[in-house]
Amino acid sequence: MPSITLPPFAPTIFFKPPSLLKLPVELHLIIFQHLPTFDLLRLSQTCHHFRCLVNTPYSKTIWLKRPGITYDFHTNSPDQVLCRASLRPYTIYETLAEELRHVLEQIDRSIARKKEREEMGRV
Amino acid sequence: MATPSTQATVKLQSNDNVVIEVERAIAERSVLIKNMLEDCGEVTDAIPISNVNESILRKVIEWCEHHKNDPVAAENENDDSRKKTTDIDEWDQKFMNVDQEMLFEIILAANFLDIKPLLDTGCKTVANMIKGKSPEEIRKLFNIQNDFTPEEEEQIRRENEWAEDR
Repeated sequence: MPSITLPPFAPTIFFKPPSLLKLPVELHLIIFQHLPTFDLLRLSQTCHHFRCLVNTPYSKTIWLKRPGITYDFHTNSPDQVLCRASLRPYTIYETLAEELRHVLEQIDRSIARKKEREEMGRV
Repeated sequence: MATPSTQATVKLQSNDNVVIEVERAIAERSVLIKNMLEDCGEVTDAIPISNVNESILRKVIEWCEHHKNDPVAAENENDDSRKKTTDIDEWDQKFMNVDQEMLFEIILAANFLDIKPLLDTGCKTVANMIKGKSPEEIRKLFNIQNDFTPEEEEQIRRENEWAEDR
């Protein structure tokens, strides 16, 4: 008669990796500051906590520092004033334009440096 | 007011009662400890670091030792300068190459001990882990429970439709 072997006890099935949610809210806000706009939006789509946090007045300063972002306050329910970061579609172009300007400036600077070096070489 | 102390080392006691002796200059990377030492002058007893266990405290001390000669940021320096970049120096990247539990513990310890550059490095590391990932990938990575109802998910999807594939 074949013996029945029980599967070995596997503690890993009970192991849950630590969640980012265990960090306090003030640290979440610091992490937000280091996230580009679209990554922040994707994080806000993971759970209620991040969705609410991204859209609360706490995050207002984070949104306001980003190029092309406007911030609207509107009342969602009579007893609760919610504010939401309003990212209108065209803001993506403004954000990209801002980034592009930054890149072009860097290129300009490196061209100027190169020219300078060439002129020094001629002298 | 206490007279400034000239003691060369201080003892730090983790919450699991391990006493670690460190150079005062290294311990003073922590603004919490620095202020405490300035207020109390000579401290011969071990300073209890109640929120941090031995392994994390040793890790934090390792970071402080490596960065002991870094210039201390001015108190009122504009926060923007330190938040603009997500570049992390190579040594710090290796230092932060730990499991998530330890990474979060280091961030919590840096926050408690008030070591801003370490806190920033930790938060930047987490931000870099999030970058470029889909909401589902972020959930998996950080064990975040999807607590949206199907209706809410649909609403979120509609709201963010325009931002997809960015």
